[in-house]
Amino acid sequence: MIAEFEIQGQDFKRAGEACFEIKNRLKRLGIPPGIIRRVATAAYEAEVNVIVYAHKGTLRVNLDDRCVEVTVIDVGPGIPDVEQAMQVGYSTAPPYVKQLGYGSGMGLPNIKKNSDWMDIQSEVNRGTTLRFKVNLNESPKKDG
Amino acid sequence: MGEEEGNAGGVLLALKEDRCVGCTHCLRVCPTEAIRVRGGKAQRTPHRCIDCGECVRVCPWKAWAVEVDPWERALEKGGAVAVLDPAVFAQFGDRAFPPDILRAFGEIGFSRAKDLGEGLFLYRRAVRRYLSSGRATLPVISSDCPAVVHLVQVKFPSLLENLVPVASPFEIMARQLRKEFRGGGEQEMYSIVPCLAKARAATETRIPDGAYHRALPILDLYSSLQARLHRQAGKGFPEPGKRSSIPGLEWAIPGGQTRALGLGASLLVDGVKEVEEVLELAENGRLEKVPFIEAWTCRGGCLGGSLNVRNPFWARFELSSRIGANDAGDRDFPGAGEAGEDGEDYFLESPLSPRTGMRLDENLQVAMQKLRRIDEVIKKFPGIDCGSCGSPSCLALAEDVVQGYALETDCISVLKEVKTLEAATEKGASERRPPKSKKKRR
Repeated sequence: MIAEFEIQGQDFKRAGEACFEIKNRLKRLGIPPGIIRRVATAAYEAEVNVIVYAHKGTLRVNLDDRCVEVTVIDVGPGIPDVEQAMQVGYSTAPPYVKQLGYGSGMGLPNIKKNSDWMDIQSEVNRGTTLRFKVNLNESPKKDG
Repeated sequence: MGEEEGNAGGVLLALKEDRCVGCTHCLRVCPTEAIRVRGGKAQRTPHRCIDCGECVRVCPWKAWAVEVDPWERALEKGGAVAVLDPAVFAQFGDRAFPPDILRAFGEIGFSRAKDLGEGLFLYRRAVRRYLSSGRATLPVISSDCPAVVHLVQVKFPSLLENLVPVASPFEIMARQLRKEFRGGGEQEMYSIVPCLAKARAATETRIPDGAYHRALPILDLYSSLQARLHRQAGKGFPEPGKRSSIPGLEWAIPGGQTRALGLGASLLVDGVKEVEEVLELAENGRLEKVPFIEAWTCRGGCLGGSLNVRNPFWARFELSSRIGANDAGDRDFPGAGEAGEDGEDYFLESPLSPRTGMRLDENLQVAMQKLRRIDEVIKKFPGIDCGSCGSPSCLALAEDVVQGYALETDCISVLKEVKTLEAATEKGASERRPPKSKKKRR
């Protein structure tokens, strides 16, 4: 494991801090820029999801010789229909969140787009575990 | 680029050791943590330095100084051509108009002085072509400020593909002038610059014929030029409008580039910390709908360059009154870039490469071990980022310790603990000692 962060629900002011740390660490390790960008984009979305929807969460980053793996475990309402949540533009975010510029229904699709593998396990009224991997070998998927 | 320490274009950022008191001002403002205080003096790691000039600006002791090779003698042999950054025209007060300033350059020994207008015009055309080519990755980041380019290379390598891959207006101008001079004898090219970054960029060209022999800061020419201009003054004001403007002045003011490019909206940011914040957002994938980022590491754009003379906001006021409607427009340069040339001629052949200054180790496994050790070491530090150890933050000290550049006891908090412990041990030991030795110590 190379990093672990606690994220508080509704803490909009600190959105991006975990992502900032992850990037810093990956840069220190000399991970290729394109990989860092994909991890950063996906991790930012995951971080914001915890802030917008959950009570609290933990974000962990693991690294081996093949991939960067990010695991986000939150305590929160859970996602009743994961497939629906994966649809572009689908969002259950309240209006005040949308006014802040979040909750446009791009979060999970963006994580999928920027990762090479993604998995969501969710239990309503308990919480959600999101995992995604970005391969270290430059993947065929286009950046961003 | 910029990896080598040295005398870039005859302009060198160096520490005047006798002035440096080892305070922590520069340490704190350096955006790439390139500075450490060791043995009571500041030191700079060249491969991390992006030439932003923040250390020069902030130093209360004027210890970070820009040394310039003597230039008066060099001009005596003749044939020197000066190319002036638009910021130059904002330094000499409301009575000095662009033609007067260009003439003053002649009087101090240049055989010719040119404004950057034509270079800006051709640069603009190349950038427009790039923006409409469909090849651009959003957000496109302006590469006109060389310190922004260096910042991306050192800290945001994933955004290299977003930088405009076009040679700088100075490089383009040098190439144009060399075409004009072809066959006409040896010419020494000088760029007259407002900042360190442009000084360094002057001798490091990325296109053929784009280099300058030397860069000269406005600051170093100022008194000589001002003396000539003063002599000219009193001849009355020039007729309004006609002499007051030259194309390209607008580029010295933040937002000028966006307007000149004909872009309706851009994300405009100046100041090195502010640019960093925006680049963070871009790296997190937040700015993919932003078409263009006009970024300057100096607050107030090039008028805020650390080698200028006049207060940047005052300079902006005076320059604003000079900017004509005819800003580097097509009609100003009807002949520019003729003979089958188009914007693509100024595209960079090879992509900009990252600089590895932030990396812990070449080997990933070793780098990971180091990262873990940093996490351990930092627990011993108080987290107050006081800078007394000579590193910019507790985290930077932890990194320096792991890299072997510093000791844990460089931290005064750690040192105090060690000393207290030592004293306690000593006290314990001395109490057990026979009274004889105790007497001896008194």
